[in-house]
Amino acid sequence: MRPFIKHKIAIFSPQGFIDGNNAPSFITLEDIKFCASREIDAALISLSKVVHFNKNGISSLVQILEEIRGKRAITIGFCDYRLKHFENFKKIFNENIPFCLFDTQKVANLFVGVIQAEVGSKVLLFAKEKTQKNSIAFELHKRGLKAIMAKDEEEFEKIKSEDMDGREFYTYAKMIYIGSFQDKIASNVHGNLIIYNVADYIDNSVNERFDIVFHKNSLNVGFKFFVFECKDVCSVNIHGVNFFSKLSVAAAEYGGTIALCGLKSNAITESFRSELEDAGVLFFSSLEKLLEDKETLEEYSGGAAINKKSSKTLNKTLISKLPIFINSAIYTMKIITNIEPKKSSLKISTLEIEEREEKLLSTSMGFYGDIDGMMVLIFTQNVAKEACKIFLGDEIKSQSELIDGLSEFANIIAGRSKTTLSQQKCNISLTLPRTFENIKDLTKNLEGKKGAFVQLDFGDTPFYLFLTR
Amino acid sequence: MVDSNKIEELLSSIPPLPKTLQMVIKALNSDDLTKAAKITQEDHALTFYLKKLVNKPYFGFGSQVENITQIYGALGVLRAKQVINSYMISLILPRSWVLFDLSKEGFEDLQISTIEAWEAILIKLEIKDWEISLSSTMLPASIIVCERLFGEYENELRILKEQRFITADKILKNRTGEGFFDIAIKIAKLWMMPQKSIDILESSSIKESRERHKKEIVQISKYLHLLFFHITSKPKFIRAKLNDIIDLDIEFIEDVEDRFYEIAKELD
Repeated sequence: MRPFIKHKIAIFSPQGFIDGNNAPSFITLEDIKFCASREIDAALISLSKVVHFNKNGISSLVQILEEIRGKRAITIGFCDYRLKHFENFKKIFNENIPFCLFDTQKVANLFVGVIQAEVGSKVLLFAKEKTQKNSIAFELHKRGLKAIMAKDEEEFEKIKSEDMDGREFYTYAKMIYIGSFQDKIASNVHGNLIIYNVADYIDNSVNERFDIVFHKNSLNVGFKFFVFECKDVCSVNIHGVNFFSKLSVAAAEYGGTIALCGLKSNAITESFRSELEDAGVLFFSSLEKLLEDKETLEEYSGGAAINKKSSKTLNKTLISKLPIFINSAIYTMKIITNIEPKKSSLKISTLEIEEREEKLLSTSMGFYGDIDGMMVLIFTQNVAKEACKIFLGDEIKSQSELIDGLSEFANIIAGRSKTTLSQQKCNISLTLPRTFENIKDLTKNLEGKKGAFVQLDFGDTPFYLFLTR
Repeated sequence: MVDSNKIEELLSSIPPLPKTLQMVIKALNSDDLTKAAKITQEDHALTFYLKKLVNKPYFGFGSQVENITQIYGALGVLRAKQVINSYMISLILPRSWVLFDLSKEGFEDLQISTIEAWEAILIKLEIKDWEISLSSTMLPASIIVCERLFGEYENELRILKEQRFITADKILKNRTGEGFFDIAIKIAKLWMMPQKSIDILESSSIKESRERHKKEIVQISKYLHLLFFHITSKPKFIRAKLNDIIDLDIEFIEDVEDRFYEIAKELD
């Protein structure tokens, strides 16, 4: 059973009954190899469709997950279970669970993968054990999230029921257990900003805990402002200084900036601080204040800086591969909707697109390797709905569901392009998709960049593909 | 990708129930096994199927049974009806299996496992109703429908499933408004299966239909829903990729799952 991967979390979804006999058939050696070859932070098994599991079954699955963890330093565990399953876990493992348990995939993403919750989001929680309570709150705090702990289950349900529209809390968790946990530096995407949450000592270990591939990918897809939330950092040594300096110099090549927020004066020496400032690292008193300072955010994340890497121009090699991206988009749209889009125009220009009556949504994915660049797809709301209908059906519950569907759609097109390119011995890697609900954010991000701008007509409505570097 | 036209195409390729089979069913409905055997002998394909199937270990006939009258006698009316239904389903087998790692024999194994488990469940539930017994024979038909509709889109299906957990049944519903069981039920109606069997099958798999059915039908259909996942949780059928073709509806089965599990443990 192949897992699907979302926000750097691999999720397996078995259905029915799990026992010692069938567990190894759910996750095979091939699946283990697949996971080990992917840039993931966690491998979880969703139990949302599991009726029953026994001790042998769950132990086998844990062994398999541990095998994946042996090949790649990741967090492992289960999610989407019911209360009876949660109780069963505690019974089987005698309250000493060597993995993580997350009520839902949304809860899991508060702790692992690329965090989708905005900094400052509130999470309602209930945990019986004090040590669990503390470690959950601490981990969330490290990630810039606010844990609101209910004193008992009754209070939890009461507060939850008062938040009917889900405006106050990002999510809720009352069957959570943080077992063995890979201490990676958590990353949140906050609008045009990437926030990394660090704590304790910034020393040599930071290089192992920091996901440099994700960071480079973010630079590749056009993120420019990278902020380290340092309020819980107690000390930065010479290795930490080198780490930040190197990041800053590398980011500068893309017009990017590194900033440290909330770093206490006693956590870094004056000379180290000057060294970092000389390397272009910015210091802010607190993340909260920075997030309120729209002008500064605009200045550093708005994409005004033109620099060596971002001034890369469209070249012949990339243009020669353009048909592959166009054909992938046409083929995917045809497969998914049964309507074949027609290419109606192609021009080399900057991204100029007028706001229409209907809202435009877009998604971009970077690629790097034998060729590098960025593929951008722009849809009207209606075309986006058609493209996502295969996943979401006719009833799309929320805008975020649609945006999620669009990322998946972009993944398919980019994945198909990647396969076709590899058949021509041109190997690329893909970044995570980035979506824009507001077309202005996209145009601003790509301001001044020339690319191949392709209009594809889907029935009476166009959608666009923009390929740039 | 699969669309409503493809469903129409599939349905129009389903043969009507052959005359011989109609007559065999009529004889079985009148509990006339001798007449059923006599008619069966005129149909070589059916005769061959019966001989092959009933000599499998599940039926436990010790020595080879070759004589059709003996076969019917050994099967009894209820099992004979189940076997005839399984034969009807085998008439719509795909030419080759692409989506699933199955063969003709593997599919027969699936059919027998389903019938066997359902029979044991009904005994435990103290239900003696041949129309209810027959309802499980159409479960494997949904797998044939899936293979025949999605077989040529194996690659596309794989790509879609890499993005999120989505079953082929859900994809079909999102695209056409119909799922595998909607189609299996149309086939069952075409083959004039008993109404109660159809109702149970419908309630087990089509959420929207449950309000229409009697409470007892809905209750039994929960066991049938679980049966599908009990069978497709077996290692050989997980390996055949049958575990994630339709969605398990946990809310639907919640009140019977413990009872089902107790029964299933005994079955295993």
